[in-house]
Amino acid sequence: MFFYAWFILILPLLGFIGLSLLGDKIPKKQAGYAGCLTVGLSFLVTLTVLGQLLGLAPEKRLGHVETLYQWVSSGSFKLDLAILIDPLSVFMFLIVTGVGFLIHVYSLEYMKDDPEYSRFFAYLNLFIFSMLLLVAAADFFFLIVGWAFVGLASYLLIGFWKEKTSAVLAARKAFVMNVIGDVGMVIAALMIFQNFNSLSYMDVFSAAPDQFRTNDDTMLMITLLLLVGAFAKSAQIPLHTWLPDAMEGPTPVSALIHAATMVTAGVYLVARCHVLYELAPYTMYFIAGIGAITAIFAGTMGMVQYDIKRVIAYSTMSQLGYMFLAVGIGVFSFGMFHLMTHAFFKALLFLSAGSVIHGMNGEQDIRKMGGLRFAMPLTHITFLVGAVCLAGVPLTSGFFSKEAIIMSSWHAEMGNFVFWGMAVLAAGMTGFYIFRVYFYTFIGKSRSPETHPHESPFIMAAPLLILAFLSLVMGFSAHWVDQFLGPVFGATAHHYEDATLETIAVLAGLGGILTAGVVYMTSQDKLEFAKQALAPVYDLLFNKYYIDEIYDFLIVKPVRAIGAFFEQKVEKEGVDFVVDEVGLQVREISRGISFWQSGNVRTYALSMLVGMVTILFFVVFL
Amino acid sequence: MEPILAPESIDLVSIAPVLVLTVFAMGVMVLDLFAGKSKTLLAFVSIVGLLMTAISAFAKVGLPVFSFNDSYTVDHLSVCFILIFTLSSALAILISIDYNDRENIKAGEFYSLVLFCTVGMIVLASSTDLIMIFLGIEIVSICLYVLAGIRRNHLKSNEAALKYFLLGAFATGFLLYGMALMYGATGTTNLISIADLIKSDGVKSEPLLMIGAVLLLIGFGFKVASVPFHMWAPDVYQGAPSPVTAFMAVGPKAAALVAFFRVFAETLPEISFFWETLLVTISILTMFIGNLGAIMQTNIKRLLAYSSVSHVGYILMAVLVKNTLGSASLIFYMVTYAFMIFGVFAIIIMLGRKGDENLEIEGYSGLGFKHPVIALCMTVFMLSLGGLPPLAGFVAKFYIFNAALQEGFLMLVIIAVLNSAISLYYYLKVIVYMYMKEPVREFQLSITPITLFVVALAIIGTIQLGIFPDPILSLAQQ
Repeated sequence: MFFYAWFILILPLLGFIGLSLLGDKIPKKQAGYAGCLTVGLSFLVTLTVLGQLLGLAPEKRLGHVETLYQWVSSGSFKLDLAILIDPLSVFMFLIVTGVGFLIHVYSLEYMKDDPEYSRFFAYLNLFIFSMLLLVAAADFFFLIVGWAFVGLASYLLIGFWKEKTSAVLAARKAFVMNVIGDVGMVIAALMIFQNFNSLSYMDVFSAAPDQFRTNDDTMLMITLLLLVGAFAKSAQIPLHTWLPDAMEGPTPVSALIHAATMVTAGVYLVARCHVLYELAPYTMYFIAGIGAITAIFAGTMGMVQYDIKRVIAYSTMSQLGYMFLAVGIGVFSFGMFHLMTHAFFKALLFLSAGSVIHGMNGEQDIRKMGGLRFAMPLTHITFLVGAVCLAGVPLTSGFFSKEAIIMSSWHAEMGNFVFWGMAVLAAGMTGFYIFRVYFYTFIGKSRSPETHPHESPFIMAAPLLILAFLSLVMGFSAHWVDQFLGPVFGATAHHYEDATLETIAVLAGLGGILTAGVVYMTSQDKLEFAKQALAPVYDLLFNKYYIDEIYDFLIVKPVRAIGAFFEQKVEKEGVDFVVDEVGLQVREISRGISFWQSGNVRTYALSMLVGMVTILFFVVFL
Repeated sequence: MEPILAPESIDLVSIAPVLVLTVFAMGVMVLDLFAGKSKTLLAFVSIVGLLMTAISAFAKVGLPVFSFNDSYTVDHLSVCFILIFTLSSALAILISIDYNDRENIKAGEFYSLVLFCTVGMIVLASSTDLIMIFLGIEIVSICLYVLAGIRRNHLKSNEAALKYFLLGAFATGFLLYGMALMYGATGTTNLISIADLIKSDGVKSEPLLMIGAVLLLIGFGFKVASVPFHMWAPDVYQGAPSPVTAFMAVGPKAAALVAFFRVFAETLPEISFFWETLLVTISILTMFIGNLGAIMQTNIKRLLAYSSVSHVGYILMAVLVKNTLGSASLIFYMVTYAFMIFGVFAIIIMLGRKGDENLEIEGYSGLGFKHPVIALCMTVFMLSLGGLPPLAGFVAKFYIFNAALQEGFLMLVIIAVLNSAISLYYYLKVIVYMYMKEPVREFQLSITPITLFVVALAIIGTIQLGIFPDPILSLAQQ
């Protein structure tokens, strides 16, 4: 019935293949248009699918599995190349292809001076394909394939400017973090397979409630392992450090991958597997807790950064925290709704920031900006729209989606006042950090008079305007989204009415904005004074809680040490290094190891003998 | 007195592949006298021979067939592996044509040695008798000793050959002693009889049998380069001529693995209680030492040597599975591994130049800009070796892990997945060098149609088996 939905995936894939093979042969402009065209067409197909889906009765919209062919069969185990069409996947298609298309168009202009234009569009198409595969997958297997592929595309795009060492390092960091997540996912999939003898969503989700009690150990294990993947992809504590660094990539990439789509994959995963998570309420509490902590934690870090993109990156982490909070307390459709509005206004903010950076000839430090409202009036408006949405000013989309989550965090069955308090606190911070950027950038006088900022051309402005429009009005679609996604989650979420709580939350946001204004107005020397008075706290925040340093100490250094050990101790002679560190016992062993790979045949033979004796010893005596 | 070999068990059709290939191997040796300077003709005659051998593998119908007093068998496993051997030997010959020209290896015996070695592999994969296994292993090993040292004037090559020979002889001692002990315990060298004996009576806990089996495990462990008997691999892989390295990494290793499978998974499953833990430990150690060792390598051949050690770690899981799923995943893994390895080595040979093989990974810097297609192929092979979907290496790993999972080796599979993730680090390192670093010196690629053909074939194999693995999978499963 929805077989043609395959075209949604195939078009960007063709775009990727075509552009990477023929990219150098066709003119630059055409390459860009081709990249946009595939995603645009894919969006149109998605709209058709949506139309057809809406024509069906709500309960008939679920579980349309479209199989291309059987990929592998081994014994009882079969794996089909199949996609799942239901409201949740179509909802994600709309965001990925819709926002994706706008960002493609924006990149036409933004990247126009880049010598490797076609490669950029090839990677973007690859990303769109991978992301669609992730959300379209009908089983855990292709979910993981898509999962790994978006990681790869993200790696390629963060490191796109390969002359930039920091970009290459950031790309590597993102990749390693994501591989950690992938391993968690794979182990979860293995456990799912062991327990259900299938990897298909349909089989697993229908069997799970009968097969497992609530909070069964296995279920907790599976859900937690899946969560490792989700947290790594969605930059939740403690797997978040790659996201701010990922801002080294081109700005459209930050908008597309590190704000609107890829980073939300973790939220999607939890929503998709809600059947499993509902069987593991402990895990749900854990998700909500981590989400709320991340929301605050990222917010605090966002308040002191000076790089415009980094602030928005921390804001993304913080908003993702909200989404996890929502799915953690079981209001899945609110989480998805916030995912959608966030995709709009965060893409808008990033693209506006990109427009600023473009206009400032690559400057990203907000201390060097100022007064841009005159030079870039349009960008000013769009950024402001993004900012008010993010801060949750009433009647904007961010207001509706965030409010629903904050309200549920108190009133929902799994909610409590702690979650609520944290959510409100984070809302206050949100208002502060985004308007701090806004004031620094657009208000006052220019702080670097030698640069002459200029407004971006129409082709960059058009996507901004569309996104600004969507950010403003899509908040009113809350009810519709809830109705649409309801069947997937078994029930629509309950909207709680509580005027007091609502007012407090709104005031928190507005308070944040106001504080940002006050701090900005306060003269710089007073600010310096405050900074010095609060120096330890400030340092802690500015250095991102030293998380990178801690990781460096706990993980990177030991891993390097192991590598060096194998190089120097196993490969070459000389044992001094290890000897000093670990006592006499190890000294003997490691001397043995160093002999092994000395290139000396006698020692090789000796080691074989030792191996044999050891093995025989174990067999005979144990 | 009864004749030692029952006349009715002499079945020449069943050993047709061995006969055909032996004739060709001898023919190539003789032809060498008349071939003149260029040995290309010999290479093509050898390939025809391999092709005929592959065809003659289907001479027997109604499998499995046992002949020569049940010491030789033609079954699904052996037929599949004969095809893998002929494929890999043919690829090895193809990539060596230009290499031998360039490096001045004027050796007609090179090709006949490859063929003889293949004969040994076929014997090894088809034997159901310890004596036959020994025969096969020795045929393979002796050919390899010579092949590794075929660059007579090259120090590293000589070193490789000598090392391999000395350690190989040592390992053979273990193997033979193990066989003797097993014979002492059971009174027979025939695997089928041994299996029956174990099943029917009390030799199960016979210490002699166990010690014999352990010694066999060590002998095989050496041949497949599993930890702690892997130490020869980096030195020998590095020193041997590149086509020989590729050849060693696939064919002979596959043959030893089949024998490994036959002895342990098919003959001794009843007493798996003692060798299973042992093999699990060896498998885990092999993965870790292989992968961790590869991380710091700067020489591509050494890197691939460690990588191949780690792959043995994964493949040993197939032996642990002990059923047809295990043998099927073994077959599939070796097919895909053959494509990937020969593809990589074809590119390595392309990048080398006379007397200087250009083996440092640093020498690959910037290949992505100068020769995008070659670099793309290398990328595909590397990603496939690392087990990224949708490439063949992924399906192979997935299949083996899945088989192990169904047998309940959850922890082992988790460790294996973890190792796959580690391995991505050094495979990606090669890609990073190709695409993200500036060239350190001029490239002088010797791209010839034959080498290019091998790369193309390997690419097609790697992608095709990744996207449409089902035909080969179901073939392997029969």
